[in-house]
Amino acid sequence: MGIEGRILRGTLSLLILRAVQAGPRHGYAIAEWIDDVTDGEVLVEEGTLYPALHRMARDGLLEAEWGLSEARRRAKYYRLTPAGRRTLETERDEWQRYSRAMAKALAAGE
Amino acid sequence: MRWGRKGRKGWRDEVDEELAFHLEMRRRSLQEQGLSEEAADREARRRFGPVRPIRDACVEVNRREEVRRMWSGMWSGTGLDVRVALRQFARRPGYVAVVIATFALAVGGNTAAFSLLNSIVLQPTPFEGGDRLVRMWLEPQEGILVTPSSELSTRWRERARIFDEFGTLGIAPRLLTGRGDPETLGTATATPSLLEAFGMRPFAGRLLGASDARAGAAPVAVISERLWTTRLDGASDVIGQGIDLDGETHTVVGVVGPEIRRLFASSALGRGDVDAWLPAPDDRDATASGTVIGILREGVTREQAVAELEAIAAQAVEDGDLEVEWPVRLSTQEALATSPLARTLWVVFACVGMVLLIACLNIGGVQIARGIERGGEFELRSAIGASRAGLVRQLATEGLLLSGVGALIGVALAYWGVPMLGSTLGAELPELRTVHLDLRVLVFALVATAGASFVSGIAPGILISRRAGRVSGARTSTVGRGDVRLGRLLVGGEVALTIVLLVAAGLFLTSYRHLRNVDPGFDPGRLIVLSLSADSVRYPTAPERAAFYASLRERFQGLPAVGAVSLATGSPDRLPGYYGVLVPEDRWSEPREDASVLRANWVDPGYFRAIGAPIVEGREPVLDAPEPEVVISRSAARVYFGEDAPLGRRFALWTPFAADNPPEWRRVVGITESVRPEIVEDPGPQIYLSLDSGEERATFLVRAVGSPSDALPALREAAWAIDDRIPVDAWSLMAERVQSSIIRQSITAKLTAAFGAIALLIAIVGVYGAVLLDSDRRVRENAIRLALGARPAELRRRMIWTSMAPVMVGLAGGLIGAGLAAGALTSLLWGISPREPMVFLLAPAVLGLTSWAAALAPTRQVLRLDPARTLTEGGTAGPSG
Repeated sequence: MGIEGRILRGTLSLLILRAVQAGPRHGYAIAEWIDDVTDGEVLVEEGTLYPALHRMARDGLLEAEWGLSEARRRAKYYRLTPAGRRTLETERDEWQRYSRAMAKALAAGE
Repeated sequence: MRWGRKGRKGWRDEVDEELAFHLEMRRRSLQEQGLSEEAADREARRRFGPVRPIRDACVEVNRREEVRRMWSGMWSGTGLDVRVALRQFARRPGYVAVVIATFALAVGGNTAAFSLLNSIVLQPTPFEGGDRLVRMWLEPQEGILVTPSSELSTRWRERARIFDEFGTLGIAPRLLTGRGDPETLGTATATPSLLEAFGMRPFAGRLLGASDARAGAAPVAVISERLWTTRLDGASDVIGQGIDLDGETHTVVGVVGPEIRRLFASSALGRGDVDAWLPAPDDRDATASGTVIGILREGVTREQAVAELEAIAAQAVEDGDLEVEWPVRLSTQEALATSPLARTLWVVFACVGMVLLIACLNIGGVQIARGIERGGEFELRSAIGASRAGLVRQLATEGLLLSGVGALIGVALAYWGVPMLGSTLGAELPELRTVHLDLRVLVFALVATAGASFVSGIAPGILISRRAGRVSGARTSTVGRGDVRLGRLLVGGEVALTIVLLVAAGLFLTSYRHLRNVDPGFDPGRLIVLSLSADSVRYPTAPERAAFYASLRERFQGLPAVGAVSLATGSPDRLPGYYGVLVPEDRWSEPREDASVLRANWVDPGYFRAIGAPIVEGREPVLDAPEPEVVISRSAARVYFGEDAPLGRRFALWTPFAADNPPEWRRVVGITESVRPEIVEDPGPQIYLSLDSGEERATFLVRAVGSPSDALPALREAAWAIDDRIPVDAWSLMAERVQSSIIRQSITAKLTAAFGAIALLIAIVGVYGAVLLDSDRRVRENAIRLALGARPAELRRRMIWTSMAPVMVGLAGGLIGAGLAAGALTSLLWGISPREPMVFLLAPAVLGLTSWAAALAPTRQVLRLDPARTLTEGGTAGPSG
């Protein structure tokens, strides 16, 4: 989907899963967390987050629930499902192996 | 996350709220960093990205999923449902057969009735612009319509600017000779351009052209495909061959398909089949004029048309071409939609619809009862994890299978039955010959089936599943209070609908019985009718015709099977109408305004004896009397002579068409009972004038000594010995003619009676089932009562009364409904009030008594009840126990 721009395939969903690992968060909080931890490198347009959230909810990785936010407003909270937790674990391992391999390859001399 | 059904709108609202929250939070955080409200808003939006596409993408994800789930939910397990259903059916083949047959009959009946309505009422014009087709009339007096003269129609054709098409059309029987047995054909003499305007397309040769209509043109004809295949053997070289009509040879120039039959089978233009189209002479002086018709230009209103036609007529009067000026009236094809036949069809349609509804209510009731019977099965299934939706689906599958198979058979029945119906009844009601099944009918059948499935399958499914969820685990009784209430409601509804049908049937039957018992004023019993139109080629002059008739009469008289023979212009059951007024001599000079239709017949002296209509006063006319002698009907005596005694009085006939003609005096010598020309109509004044032998059209009325059908072959042979071109269809039996004049009433009475009987049967089955259900519910209760000392007979009486309560309520409701509905039938009834008390008493009596009888059997078990056993065993006997 074009909206996701330069984000690497799979990166965003992995970040989202990580963002809600500690507990339920609403979309804005997830965006803030990603922004903080990536120095604004990944999420150029915050709106991009939402279609990804809905797709993941559809696929059963996340569970959405309306709750009251800290600002005393209704907000939709996303929480990890057991399937989401499993996906987070396997994908994190894969990503780490992959990025280690990439880093190694790029640092290697002739 | 819960997946309720939200729909596109629901999802849009939800996503909007979620995104709005995000934007709001970002805005606040930016404002806290010191941005102005406006700048914060702009920045928040910039960082968010395009809101609409994002929102739409989110909604789409959820919508698609919802739809996918709905479908997969609907179909998953369908195969299993069907297998379970089939297993259920296999256990109860009799029940399944009855339900399917009920559906087949109900859907088939509805489809057939709708196809009649569709062909005859809903789409009466088969060609482009048919809705603008008008027939022109003059109305000299309120309610009296006459065809305009050819002078006037010629003027209209020349001057009126409001028509796309204008012409005359005369439908008349002509004798076809020369190829096989002589036959009377329906022929139309039409202005050639009308054929194209009617959308006719030749399937061989051409249509009629303007040149065919010129004076001196060779006689030509366009024939129907029926004539081509039956009389010309479908010969490929038919074009150019000759056919003899009334002794004149016409060259066939074209053959047209059957589509056009529909226009003439039922239309404002006239009824009957047209098998040959002849050009109407394009000649100002031509006297042969038929109905005057036109197709109005688009956008011309009827008021404008009438105004223009009247203006042209007024001009003609001024010019001295026309004697009197009368208001112009237009009749259209729409008129047909309100004809008695159309109203009859609506009634039939409504009746069949009610039968279908009763059948559905009944099957629905049975399904519910069966569902309760299977309560254990459902409880088990829901205990091992079947969802409520799953149970509904199971029941709906069963209902749909039953109704679907039934409906399929029903539509097939209609498909084969409707054309058969058309050809069987077509001889009596030509309108029915055009009935066909089309897309509209099939869509209707589909809708009817869907409605039937819902009422009888899906709705009970929902009700039962709700109940299965509720009582799951309860051990007391398998029949709940709510089920009984529902059962009662269904019974009440069935009874109410049945009463309406029974009342309608009763009214139509009573009306028909009245009609059959009407004294036609003569004795049709052993009368044989021979209607002749002596063709003008073989018998060109009056003396020749007179000689021909005389020799026929002599032959007939000589036959041993013949009692009396009479020759007249018309037959007593179809007396020719004549527009005018009978004026006694002493009132000739008084002004006359009150012309109306009187029936006149030209008869020979033996007429009254032959038809069995006695002269009640005076005597029969004598042919060679010094002054023409006339017999008049009692009604004519009353209308024209009032209190005066008419016998011996002189009078003359006056008609506004020939207002200045000198009076032709005749003398009243006898008075006879009125005959009813068409039984349903009120007999107007009738007069019988002495026949001048030698008329072109003549009717022989022959009274047989024994059975008229036995006498017929001998008569036919005798007639053929004199002229072998007398068509077979010229002969008829008077009794059959009289019968067929009330064929519509007869069919209505028989159909509604049949529907009423079916409804009664279904309703009784319904009552029986409901009582059965009720008595099962009360097995334990009754056992307890018996144990406490109640008398069985007393208990039974109480049960019967409880079951009769919904019947009574249904009866009352049905009677009120019938009372309201009957008003709509007024115009279709003859001789009785639509609120005939006898019918309104008998219908509920019949239904009430039969219901009561139906309630007796199931309650009998109370008498055999053994309280000790019932109570210790748990008392959950199945309804069949």
